[in-house]
Amino acid sequence: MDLNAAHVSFVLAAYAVSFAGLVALVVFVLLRDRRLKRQVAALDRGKELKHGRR
Amino acid sequence: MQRFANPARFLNLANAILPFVWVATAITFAAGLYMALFTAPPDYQQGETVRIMFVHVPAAWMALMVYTSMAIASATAAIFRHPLADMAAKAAAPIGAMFCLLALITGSLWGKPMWGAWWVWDARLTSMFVLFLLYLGYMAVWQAIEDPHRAALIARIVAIAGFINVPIVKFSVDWWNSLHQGASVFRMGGPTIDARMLWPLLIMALAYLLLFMGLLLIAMRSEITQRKIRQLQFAGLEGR
Amino acid sequence: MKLLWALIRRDLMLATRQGGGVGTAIGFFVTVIVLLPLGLGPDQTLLQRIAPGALWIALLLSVLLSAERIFQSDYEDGSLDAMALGVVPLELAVLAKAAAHWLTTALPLALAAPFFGFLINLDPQAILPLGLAMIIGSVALSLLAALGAAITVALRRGGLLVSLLILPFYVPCLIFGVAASSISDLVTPSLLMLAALALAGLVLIPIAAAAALRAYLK
Repeated sequence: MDLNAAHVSFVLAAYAVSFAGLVALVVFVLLRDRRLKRQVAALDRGKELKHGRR
Repeated sequence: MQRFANPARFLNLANAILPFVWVATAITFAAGLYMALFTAPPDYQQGETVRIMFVHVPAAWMALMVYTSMAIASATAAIFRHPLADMAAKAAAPIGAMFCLLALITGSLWGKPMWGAWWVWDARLTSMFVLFLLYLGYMAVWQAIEDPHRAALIARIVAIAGFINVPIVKFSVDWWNSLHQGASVFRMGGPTIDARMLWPLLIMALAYLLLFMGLLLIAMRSEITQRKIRQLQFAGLEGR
Repeated sequence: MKLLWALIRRDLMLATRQGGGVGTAIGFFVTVIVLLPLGLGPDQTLLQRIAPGALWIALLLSVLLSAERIFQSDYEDGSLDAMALGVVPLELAVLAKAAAHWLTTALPLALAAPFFGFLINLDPQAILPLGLAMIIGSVALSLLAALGAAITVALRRGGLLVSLLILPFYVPCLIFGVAASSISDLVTPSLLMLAALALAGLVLIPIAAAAALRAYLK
């Protein structure tokens, strides 16, 4: 790519925004999954403590 | 399909294929980006700005494809009562919305050097904007209704009705543009697309698709986990 | 058919007794039309050009504003439950309510709009096309408002959601409506498209709205 061509800043901006958007999406999905996994694990542990192992 | 109605079975399948999806996503993105930025030639008329096509068009395609999938999933949920169908639609929505937003932003960044305007109300852009509103509306329904079952019922209607509306909007704006002769016809990518530009486009589109699949699997996993949390919480409330 | 008329009459009686909602819609409509020249300046050629679009937008927003009322009171006092379980299919009840809304809110506005057009220098030749387009288009607008109301009937802050959900459907109505309001012909292809939307809505929207109401009545 010719970095001195006209309007290159638009191209770079478009790729930067796309990258940022997709990364944000991935982070959002992964973090939410991790948070929910921890929540369910905590509830499972709580249930086990409550009932013990019968 | 009925075999995967069991969430546990679905989770096993999802966890099994997820690593392959991630690897495939990484490879296609790497290949696609390399071709888009280096091997694809600059356009005869647009110069380097044509490279925006390689992030704009895949995002737009995915925005439409994801919404279509949501409509199909909603119809499946309504007709066959497949338990995972509502979850699939709900999980897909934020992903599709982001694709739609990226399509709008990159479209704007492409439009400014090409047509001199950040935004024009042509059929494609207007329909994409309306599509974004449809995504927001769909997600708002899930947020606004507390009971998940009720939310699913309403969300299905919203998704299917919205899906019917998308071609109507596109048609109406096309009509409107043709009535107002002042608007020129905006063509993206030129009349025929060079093979050296077609391949990066298809590979980037594939990369976006694989990314969607990976994220959808994880998001559905989150939905299943969330349902389990709710069940555990209710069980806890009843003092079992 | 008789039951349909009975339901419509009932809603008309309720609407005239309550009064409030219809007045709000008309007041809003007039406000928009009066504020427009004050905001845009007295340039008469400009006003004449935007007059059809402005009147349509005012109509759209006014109908949307009054949407919440369509099922609200019947949902709250349990009449909707009775309708869902009754002899008349819920779809027909939805149609009746949309018809009542149309007769009390959308249609009066559509009929009055061309006359308010003189405030914004509407071309006199456009009065008839505009009026006809609005009469037909208002059917679609009322039906869509009913759909939005059904989807959000039990929600507390339903108003904002109704706007967000129904706006995408109002876009083609607006586009065809304004195109049909030009001075060229009385019956244009745009008018036919608008009529097609209204007819499609008459069939599809009661089904969708009834399904939404049932979700809340369970």
